[in-house]
Amino acid sequence: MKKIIGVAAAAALLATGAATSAFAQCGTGVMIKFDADAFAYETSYVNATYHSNPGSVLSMVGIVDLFCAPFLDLDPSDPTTEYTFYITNLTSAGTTAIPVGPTTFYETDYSGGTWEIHAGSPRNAPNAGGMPALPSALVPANFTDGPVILSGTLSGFHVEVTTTGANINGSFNSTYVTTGGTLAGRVGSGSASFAGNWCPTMQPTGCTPATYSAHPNGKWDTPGTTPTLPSSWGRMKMLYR
Amino acid sequence: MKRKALLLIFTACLAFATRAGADQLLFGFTGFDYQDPNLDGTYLDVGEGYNVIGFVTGVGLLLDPYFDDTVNQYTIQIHNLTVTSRTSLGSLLAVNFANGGRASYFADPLLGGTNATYGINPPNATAPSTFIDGSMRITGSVDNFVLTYNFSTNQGSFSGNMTVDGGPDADYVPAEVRSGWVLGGLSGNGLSGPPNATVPTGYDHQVSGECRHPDVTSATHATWGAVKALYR
Repeated sequence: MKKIIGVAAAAALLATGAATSAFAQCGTGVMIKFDADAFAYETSYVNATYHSNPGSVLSMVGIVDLFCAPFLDLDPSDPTTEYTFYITNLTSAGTTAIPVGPTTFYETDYSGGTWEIHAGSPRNAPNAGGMPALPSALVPANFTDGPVILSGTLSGFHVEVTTTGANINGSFNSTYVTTGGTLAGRVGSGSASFAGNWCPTMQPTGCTPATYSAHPNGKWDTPGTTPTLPSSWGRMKMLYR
Repeated sequence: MKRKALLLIFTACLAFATRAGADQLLFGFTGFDYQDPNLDGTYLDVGEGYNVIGFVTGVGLLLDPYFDDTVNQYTIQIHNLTVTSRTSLGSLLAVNFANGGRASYFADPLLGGTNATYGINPPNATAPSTFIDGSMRITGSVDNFVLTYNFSTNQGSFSGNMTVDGGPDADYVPAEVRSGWVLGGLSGNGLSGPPNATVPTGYDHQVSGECRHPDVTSATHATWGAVKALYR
């Protein structure tokens, strides 16, 4: 008699297909990473002073660069499938500027936040070399086409920008949970970090195109909870032979 | 007369350099940071060293033809950064470093190479050694490096001027765009407790960042009329 037994399996063993070579670049903790092709924009933001006004809504769009466990079977360079993300519904509480010696810290809390990752075809999202000025029919439309493979919510989203003379950079930090998407079962319900670099300097000498507020570079970390998979008594016995 | 005409025609055919775009990604990375030397319990006290080791997660157009993660594991090291001063206010910290830091990018063959392993409490038997034992492909000086951190929100960032000055892949970075930036976002170590669960013991923060360079200047052609107009 076969019994269906739920077993906990290490996240790294859950890949449903052959792992891509990207495994070598994954290291520890990273689940999904984005680099050059991600940009943020707000409904009420002053680029020159790094100020987000109370009530401003922050959104982010981007293209995934790297998948790690448990998504090693997904290839972000697949010529027929583009993995893009859209983050929105982050409401600003307003920016506070705090001088600390020669450095000024610009701190902004955002409430709420939703995120989604799509597997779209064809590859049509604009990238860093050609982000259209906003408003644009391509943003976020070309980042939200195709089925949603993962989606969820954010909490505690905080942006910090610091200026020390010509050194201007920042970071974003938050916690995410996965609540939907065709591949949500691989992740489980645990929470983990969604964080990274936040570059607010404007092009041509900086990171951010006009009409956008920042260029983020960041990652979703792997949550600590491991999802369960159905198994059989025969498979269980094989583990201990 | 003929010589002058020929000269002017030649001038008309010259390419006039224009800036085609903007600051671009050289390579992106993720990793962890740690202090070494770590002289006391104060985070990045004067005289202490700042280090980042990790993995390259993407490259820009200049390096893309030469990046193959089916053949190599690509790693990064940022080091040789010594604290010269620090300023704090409550949970906010700003740290300055001496010039002369280094940032480097390595390629280690998957077949026959060593898998880069963080271990715990670096420096240790595998870190940074397994991150720097491959072929060093690009290296650069890091100057004007500043790190800031907010211990209440568990996040911070760093930035510095990075000038590519060595490595065989430096040949793919035109000389006029070798002076760029190294940027990183930090998360994971608040006042209330240990670092995030994904930060190995002995490391301080998760790091996600990139090295950037100015856009490669492109050429455009002009007409004789446009050339004349420049000198009116």
